[in-house]
Amino acid sequence: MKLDEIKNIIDDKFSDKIKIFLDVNEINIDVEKSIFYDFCKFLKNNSNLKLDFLSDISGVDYLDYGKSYWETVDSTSKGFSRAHKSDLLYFLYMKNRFCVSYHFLSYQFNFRLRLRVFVDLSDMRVDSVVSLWPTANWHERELYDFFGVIFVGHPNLIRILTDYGFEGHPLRKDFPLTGEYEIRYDENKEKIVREASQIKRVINTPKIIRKDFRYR
Amino acid sequence: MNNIDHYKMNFGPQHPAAHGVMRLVLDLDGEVIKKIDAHAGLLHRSIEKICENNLYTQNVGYMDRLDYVSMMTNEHSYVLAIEKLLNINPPIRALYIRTMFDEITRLLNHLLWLGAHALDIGAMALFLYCFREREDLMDCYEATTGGRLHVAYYRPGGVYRDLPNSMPKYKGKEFGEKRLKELNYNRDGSLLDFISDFVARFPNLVDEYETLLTDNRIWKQRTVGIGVVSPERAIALGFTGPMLRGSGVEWDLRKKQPYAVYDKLEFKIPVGSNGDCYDRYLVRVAEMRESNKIIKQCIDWLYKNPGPVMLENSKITPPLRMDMKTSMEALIHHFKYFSEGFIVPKGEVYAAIEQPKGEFGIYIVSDGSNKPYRVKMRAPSYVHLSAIDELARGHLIADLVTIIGTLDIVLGDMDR
Repeated sequence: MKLDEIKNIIDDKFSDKIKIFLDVNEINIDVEKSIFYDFCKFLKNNSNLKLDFLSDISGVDYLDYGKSYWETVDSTSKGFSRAHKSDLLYFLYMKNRFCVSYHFLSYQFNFRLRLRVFVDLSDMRVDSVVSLWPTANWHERELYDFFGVIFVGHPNLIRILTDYGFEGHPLRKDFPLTGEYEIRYDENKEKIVREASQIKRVINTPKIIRKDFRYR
Repeated sequence: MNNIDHYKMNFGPQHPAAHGVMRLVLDLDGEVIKKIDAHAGLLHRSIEKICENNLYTQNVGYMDRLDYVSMMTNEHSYVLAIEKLLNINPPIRALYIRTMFDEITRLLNHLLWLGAHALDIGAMALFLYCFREREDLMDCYEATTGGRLHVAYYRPGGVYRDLPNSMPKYKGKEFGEKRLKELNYNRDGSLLDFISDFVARFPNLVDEYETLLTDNRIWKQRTVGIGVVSPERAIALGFTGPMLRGSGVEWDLRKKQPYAVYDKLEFKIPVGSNGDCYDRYLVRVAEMRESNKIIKQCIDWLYKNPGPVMLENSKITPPLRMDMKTSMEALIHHFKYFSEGFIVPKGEVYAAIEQPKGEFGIYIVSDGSNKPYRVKMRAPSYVHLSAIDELARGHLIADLVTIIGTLDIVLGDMDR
């Protein structure tokens, strides 16, 4: 299914609250949080779309988006122009730190669609879609676990993949790779104790952003 | 005496039928399951977080360790996502090799599944037969890549190296001359000769498994009518792969959204009708036969068409070892490739393939740097296990083992 066809199918009442575009030849829709649930309902029930299969829900934390560890701007003015100044435009346009992206598939029309909804720390609530696609249940629990997104209307929103008694949301970009706590057996106390992690993080390769026009 | 309606019982975390470390808290009424609370995550290693801090090429090895029964298919999905972002197409021979190894991986997975599933239910002998065949397929892995399980063979831009012209042979006096000859009878030629010998033998071997199980009275009693899912419910629960096809939905990404060279090959999609454990067993066995056909077609093509297996673009693929001895450029490229990696343009991409267990998808968000900004794996096991409560309700504890078996879960994949 083409982008234009989908644009035609989607109701006018949503048109000012959504943004449809192609990203790497994949159909992407950004939707505002206020109409998110209604829009999902529309996607599922519209007979021309029939997005009856939700394949995945994933979260993205855009905190470090477009930031490199190793600034190579100075070399640009002096030498050849392979270094590139990081632009944060992509992040600024979104304004919100977190994104929840849903990947749909329509069995009948055989096309995929990505739906993104943005949330910020001030209000981490998103409507749950478990009532529309029951498979969302564990995906949403995982997102709550990893990012702290709160799904309103979820039947059982508890942690799923991290340890019992875990604190924090590990896939946020400000959560250290080495973790915040480490657990060891204390011989004097004769029990397992939890302490602040002593591991120092070593970055072997810095994250580098270069402008590369060869591919697209 | 107190009348106790419900009591709770732990299934796992260490249970041989749980296929790994998984804890299920069962709510029981007598021996009937009223509710299951599945505790996932005991094998959680935070691979997604690790991937964010690695170069694109370094992550290929982590993909093997997700679903450690279908290694190369995981790599395939990851590599496809990067190739989509880079907008490159690997050479055709690489695509055929990938297709062939995807199907070999499917056989590996289904053989392990069949053996372990039968063992769980009580058919002991099949496990040994399945592992006998797995050994041959692992030898193919080993001859090509050097590894038996975690191979890191697929790379962005192709596969790491071409198929070998010789197979390693059994050696040693302890075997005796006669036994050595038996062991090495199909190892004189190239890898392709070895696989074509296997492909010729395999249909008969599947027949052998089927004589043990398909019409077996005990097998049928244990699987027919257990864990029934209707087609609508299977879609709603997010089932993919044999779990979906067992319910009668004809959906296979290899046919419907072809990747690699599946659109050039002939094969069928086996579909069940009742959506119970027995149908899913039949679907998987039929899939093994189809995989065998696909491998046969790939071998025929690979015999006739030699060629490059990796793009010759030194910015995204490593240079040849031979060139590095003489060429300064190649040495620089090698250094940059393995120290800094390559830059992947901005964008978000979701690449899904038909893994033996179902749809395995990789969602990569790239911010134009040499490390993926976010990698998310859509693991079929995770989705399938989430439905265990619904599947097992009202069944006996013994049937729970059948249902866990039929879900074909691997905990490394599920917990990531």
